[in-house]
Amino acid sequence: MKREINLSLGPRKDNTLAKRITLYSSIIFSIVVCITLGILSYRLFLSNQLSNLTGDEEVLQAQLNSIKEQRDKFVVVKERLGEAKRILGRRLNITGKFDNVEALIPSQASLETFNGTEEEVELRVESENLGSLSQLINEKIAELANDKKQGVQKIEMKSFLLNPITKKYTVVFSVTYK
Amino acid sequence: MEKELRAVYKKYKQQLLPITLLFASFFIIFRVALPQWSEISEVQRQIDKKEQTVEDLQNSLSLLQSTPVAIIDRNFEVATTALPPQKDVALMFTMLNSAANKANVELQGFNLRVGDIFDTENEVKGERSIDGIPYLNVTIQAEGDNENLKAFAENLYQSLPLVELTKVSIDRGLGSYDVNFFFKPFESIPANFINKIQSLTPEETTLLQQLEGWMPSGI
Repeated sequence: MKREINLSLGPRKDNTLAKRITLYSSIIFSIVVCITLGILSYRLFLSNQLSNLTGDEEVLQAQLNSIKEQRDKFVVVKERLGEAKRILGRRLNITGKFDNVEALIPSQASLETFNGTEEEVELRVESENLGSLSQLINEKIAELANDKKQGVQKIEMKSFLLNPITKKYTVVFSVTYK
Repeated sequence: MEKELRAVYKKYKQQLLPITLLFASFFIIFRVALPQWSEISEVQRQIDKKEQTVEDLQNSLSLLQSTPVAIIDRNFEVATTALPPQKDVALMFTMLNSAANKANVELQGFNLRVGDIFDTENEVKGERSIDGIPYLNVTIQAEGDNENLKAFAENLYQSLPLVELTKVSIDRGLGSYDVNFFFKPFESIPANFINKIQSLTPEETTLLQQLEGWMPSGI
């Protein structure tokens, strides 16, 4: 009796694709691990660098603290020079106004009284010579009024009188600035 | 149960390894690599800032070590005479006397209100200031020639402490002056100023020399 014996092991399974997938995934995994190790190494390097810089900073701070007094004085000087510059730049210039109006006074007259603030100046001028006062009123004061650099807003003559005892003429006028 | 698991394993064992490797790759990327990468930029930023701080400290230290102590002390004296740290009546009086002597006028008197000397609430009330700089207002009387009285006013502007004249009255040999004496209390210095000390600019050096020329005699 003949029996058919099938010695075939079955169709040969093709596992090339599976091997390829395994290979590729291994490669990907290796690349990822390498890159990650690289990142971690760099991170460690930077942490070390930061730590060294922190140490340097502490050493320098300690050295600066050992000369704290000089350091603080230096800072105070810089700070106060800045404030001094601000003050000098904005100080009111009342004596400058004094000089400007004094320059108007004719030689035969004298400035007897000066009252000045930032906004207004009041002068009292005396002279025996009426002509010089007339020149002051008609010419000099007009020059002052026309000089835009002076910033004059108003000039007012408050009084003009003759002292019967001293025989001197007195004129009082005020200059108001913008 | 075990037999079933063995059967599943045998069936899928060829796919198991790549799946595990891919899963591990994703895990490493998202849980390790990317967080570390974002931290790197933060650490780099800290390093840059730290390097700048170290450089500033080195420059500050070398500046201080190269400047003689005597010069620092003298500059400090000039700066704190120009703007005293408190209302220094003695210094003001020294300055007024010096300016009066130079102008050849005689001081008749001065009137000032120092303000609170003690306060249980530990704060100064109503301290006047201009642009944030406190001042003490003083009224001064002087006697002399009109021209000298004017010169006295000019001398005040070339003296220390720094002042500002708000009113000048000169009337036949008698002068009256409204003067603000500036002062500036010491304040705590911010850390960024302490770490980054810079040398005086040429402008500041010129100003310092100018102020030194205005120092009251005897100081």
